[in-house]
Amino acid sequence: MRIKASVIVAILTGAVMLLGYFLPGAFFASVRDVMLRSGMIIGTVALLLGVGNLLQVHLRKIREQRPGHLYSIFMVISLFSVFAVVVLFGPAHPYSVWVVSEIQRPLEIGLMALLAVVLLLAGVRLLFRRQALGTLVFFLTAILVLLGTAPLPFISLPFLEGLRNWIAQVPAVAGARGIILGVALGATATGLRVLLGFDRPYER
Amino acid sequence: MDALIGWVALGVAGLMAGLILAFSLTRRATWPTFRHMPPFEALAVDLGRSVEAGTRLHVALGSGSLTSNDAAASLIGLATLSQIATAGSVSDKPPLATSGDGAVALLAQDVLRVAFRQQRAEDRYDPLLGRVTGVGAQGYATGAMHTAPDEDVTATIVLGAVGPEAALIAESGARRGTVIGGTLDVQGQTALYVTADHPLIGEELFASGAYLHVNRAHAASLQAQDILRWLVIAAIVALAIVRTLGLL
Amino acid sequence: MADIRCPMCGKPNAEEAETCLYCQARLKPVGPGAAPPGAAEPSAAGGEGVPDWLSRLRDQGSPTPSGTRELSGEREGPSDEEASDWLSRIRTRSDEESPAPSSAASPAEDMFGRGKPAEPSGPVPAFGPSAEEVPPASAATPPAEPASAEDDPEWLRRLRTRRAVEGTPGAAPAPSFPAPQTTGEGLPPDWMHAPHEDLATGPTAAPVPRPAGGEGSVPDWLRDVQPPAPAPAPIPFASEDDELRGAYAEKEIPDWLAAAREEAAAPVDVVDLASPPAAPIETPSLEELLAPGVLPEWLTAGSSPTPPPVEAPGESLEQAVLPPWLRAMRPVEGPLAPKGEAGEAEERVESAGPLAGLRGVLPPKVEAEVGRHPPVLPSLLDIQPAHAAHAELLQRIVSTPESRAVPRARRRAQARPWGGLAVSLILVAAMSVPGVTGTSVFARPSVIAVETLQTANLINSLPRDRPLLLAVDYDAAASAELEAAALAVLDHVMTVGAPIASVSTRPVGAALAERLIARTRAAHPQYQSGVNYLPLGYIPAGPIGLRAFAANPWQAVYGQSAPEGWDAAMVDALHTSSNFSAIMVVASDPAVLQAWIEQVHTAVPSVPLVAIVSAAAEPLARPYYESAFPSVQGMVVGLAGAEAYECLNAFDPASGRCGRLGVADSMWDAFGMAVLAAVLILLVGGLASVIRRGVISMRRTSHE
Repeated sequence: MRIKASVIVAILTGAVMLLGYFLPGAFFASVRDVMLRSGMIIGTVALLLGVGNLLQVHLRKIREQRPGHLYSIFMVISLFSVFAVVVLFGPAHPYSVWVVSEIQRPLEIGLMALLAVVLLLAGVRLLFRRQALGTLVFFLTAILVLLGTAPLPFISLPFLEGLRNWIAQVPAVAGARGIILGVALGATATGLRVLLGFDRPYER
Repeated sequence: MDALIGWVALGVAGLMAGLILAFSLTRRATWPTFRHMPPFEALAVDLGRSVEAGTRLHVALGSGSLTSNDAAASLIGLATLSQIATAGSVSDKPPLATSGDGAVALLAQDVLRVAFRQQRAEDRYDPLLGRVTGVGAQGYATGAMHTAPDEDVTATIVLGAVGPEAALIAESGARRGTVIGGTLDVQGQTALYVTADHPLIGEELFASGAYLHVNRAHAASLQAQDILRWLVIAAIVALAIVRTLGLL
Repeated sequence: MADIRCPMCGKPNAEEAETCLYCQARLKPVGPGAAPPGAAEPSAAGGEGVPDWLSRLRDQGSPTPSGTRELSGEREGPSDEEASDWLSRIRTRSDEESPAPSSAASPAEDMFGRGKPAEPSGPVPAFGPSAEEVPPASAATPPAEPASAEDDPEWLRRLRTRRAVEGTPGAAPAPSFPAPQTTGEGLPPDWMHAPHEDLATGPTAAPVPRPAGGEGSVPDWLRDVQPPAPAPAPIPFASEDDELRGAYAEKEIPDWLAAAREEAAAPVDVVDLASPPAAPIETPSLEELLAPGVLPEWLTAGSSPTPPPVEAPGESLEQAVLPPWLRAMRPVEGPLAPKGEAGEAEERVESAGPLAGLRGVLPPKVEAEVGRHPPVLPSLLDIQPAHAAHAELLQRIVSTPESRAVPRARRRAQARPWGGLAVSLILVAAMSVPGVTGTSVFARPSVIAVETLQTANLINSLPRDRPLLLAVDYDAAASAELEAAALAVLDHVMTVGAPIASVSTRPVGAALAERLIARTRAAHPQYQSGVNYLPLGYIPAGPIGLRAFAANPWQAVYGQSAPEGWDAAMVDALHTSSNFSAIMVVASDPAVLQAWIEQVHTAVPSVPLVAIVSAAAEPLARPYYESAFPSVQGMVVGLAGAEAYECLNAFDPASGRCGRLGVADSMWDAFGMAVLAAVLILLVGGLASVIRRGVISMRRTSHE
């Protein structure tokens, strides 16, 4: 079986990084440091690639005048404007901070508010769409946690707060830990598949 | 203590690697039988329906990068995308993959290109079928929300690193068709449980490769995960008993 | 206007058309006994020799572009019907007078040109239903010259004389050309029959079987005429005589024939075939007919006075040598082979047209062109009951119109924008009430969580010579919740006077950190950038960057000389992560906290880590705090934690009460109203969903 060079590089790199965590020695540590810094550079370039891809999509939308291309025009103008401000003045400059504080932050907060509305509506429809014991437990747990989290007017019910704390710290944590364990096992398996050469997302 | 934890982790990884190799290299002709999972059956139905109706499938890979903790979810999403693209490349509107990370978007383009080439439909491949809709979680969700109505999507598959903003993507996709969603983020799972038609809970996301027959290693790793999961359960119970008895 | 069907290709043509528009075949014969020009095509394709007489007849005139044939200029003879009439009258009269002669019929050529060449004087007979066989095709010979009246045989002259004596009235008219018969009546004379080639078995010399039926009134010379083979179905060749008539050039028709035509053209009365003839007709005996010189040689060839014994067809028959082109036209053996029809085709004797008397002639119409339905073949499959059930199910699925429809994706009702609008209005209204009314009815937290107290204690013990690492790792969307807690804690840090170094793994984190510092610095103006506040910026690549940061923080973020004006001691402290006094991670995503713990805290476990997380991240962050080997030494959770920390910051020991001047405190009442409104929406909406589902189920049950 002919093994491609990319597969060999991927396997060797993963093996060195993994062994560097467990085996003592300056050699593995130095190799690991070099790879870490290289990974940082690759991650930064990937961010720029994402911006480039985004730009490509919207430019084509503008060129083909697809529905909503006006929004794409606005997006492209905004992108280049903010990019210019940050490049010229720096990310910590008050101008850059103003863009984030007064434009991006309100927009994202509004999106989170929309998310709250969406989740509320979905929760209301959940009992209609999916009638199961798990759905009922989910529904009741959400109400109890909300009542225990929020303050109550004119009255104080420590029982609700205690119940909420118990739900958040016992069954929720237990369930979350179980999910995290399973996720860890799955992530380990996924990484091992790449290390062993079974999965080759980098290969053409 | 840290050294002990490290060696335990190395042992677990080694055991899993051995199990994956053993299951992958033996009994290659048979595919193991897994339990019934409606989300993957719904995926097959939606894929066929979209090909018949000439509509599109949207695979949302999330905003996670390959260097983050959610890289596994992105890799699973890419593996699923390869199977979806292979089957959907013959459609008038091939599947579309969105991501919030440039590297993942590049890999998605590569996966789509390979799928089209395998189906002898390379001339129909469009690089922008794998695209970035926004950088960051919120930016990605904002752009991915509009993918369903703009691209005539009738099925939305969320498989990747998404948080609670997945609810926005799922709600937008639900207005046009079915939504199948799975992520490793607990908040994202909660959001998808409420909004998706077929949510994947917990590590069910890692089973997608085995159920979609990506390759034998995916089925082998799922079997290995099941074995190790039982071992972890046994270890937790045993340690809890030992700790309760005061022996440790 | 009625259309005429071409005898060759079967396609309809106009009634007045002379030749077929499609295949150029002659539709109306020029003279009796002439073969249509189209009939020459199959034989020509086969390459075998076509008898000269037939080819001569076919080549009469040349087809014009319009599809009609040009006659040679001679007067066209009587119609085919008239020609058949006279012949049938002759036959009928002969049958009634004397039996058919026992001698075998003379060989005659079939439509494919097999057999002896035609005599130039002999007429090409209009073949009728006959059981005779056609001799094999022979090489084409030059066509014979048409005979003159002086060359007519004796018997023919006698026939003419008799007709002249009898006259037109009362003469036995020739009925329509009869269908193949079994009784022997109306059969052509024996001299007209010739052994022809059996298409299936080849040529044979077997004579025609003797027709059954009465012999009393049949002339002797006709008595031995073998009857035609019984045909299961009458072949309406009588009606197709006109179509079968070939074009006969007027010059090729013998004079005797032409004269006979004229006689036949006279109207005659129909004679009842069952009734005995009015007067006996004297016919010569077979021996007289077979005497040399009486009949043309081609009529007497192969015949004998006594009919050969009848043998079963197919037995001891000499296999005919079929030409290749004819062999290719034979039906294929197997289920598709029309065996019954082949048998019928073999037994059927042509009764009209130039091929009269030949057996096994292909019908003029190609049934495939007419659009005959394919035969129903018997199934040779062994169908199991399960297979039959599956087939029936498949048929049912295919036949139902619903199954043919492409299943549409289930879509949720999009026409419900009022739901989101209503929820939004309720939430906004609820949150606006405290601000509008100016009331504060929600109780503040009375108990401060332990993890919050521990955070406060840790901040109180921070050294002032080592910086606190502030990790602002949340998105702008989560800033509404986390800024309250972060501001409260930062205010405490600045009160203590610990230097701060900010960093983020998010692109917007640096800007958010600047916002936090700017808002907090308002109350603590001594904090200056580069002096006791070092903005380190953005760490790319997530956990990989954190791992590199843990190894060498300064190299991970700057890797070069410090900016001008920065405190050197502070910068030196940043070259080792263990120099940090504490790490404070502000995150809404538990995975970010996990990355900081796993990548940084494990590298420098001596540095305490404090987590400021959202309420949604608490379930996943708390295990790190409550672990036996905790990685997190303090936590501030959500708005409640921020409210508690603000109380700690504004706590008045004298009064024992907390101050309420923080961001969290300003949001507390609106937060309470919003949560209560959400609970109300969930309860009412959930109840309505359950009721609606129940109603739908009841309706469905009642319909069923």
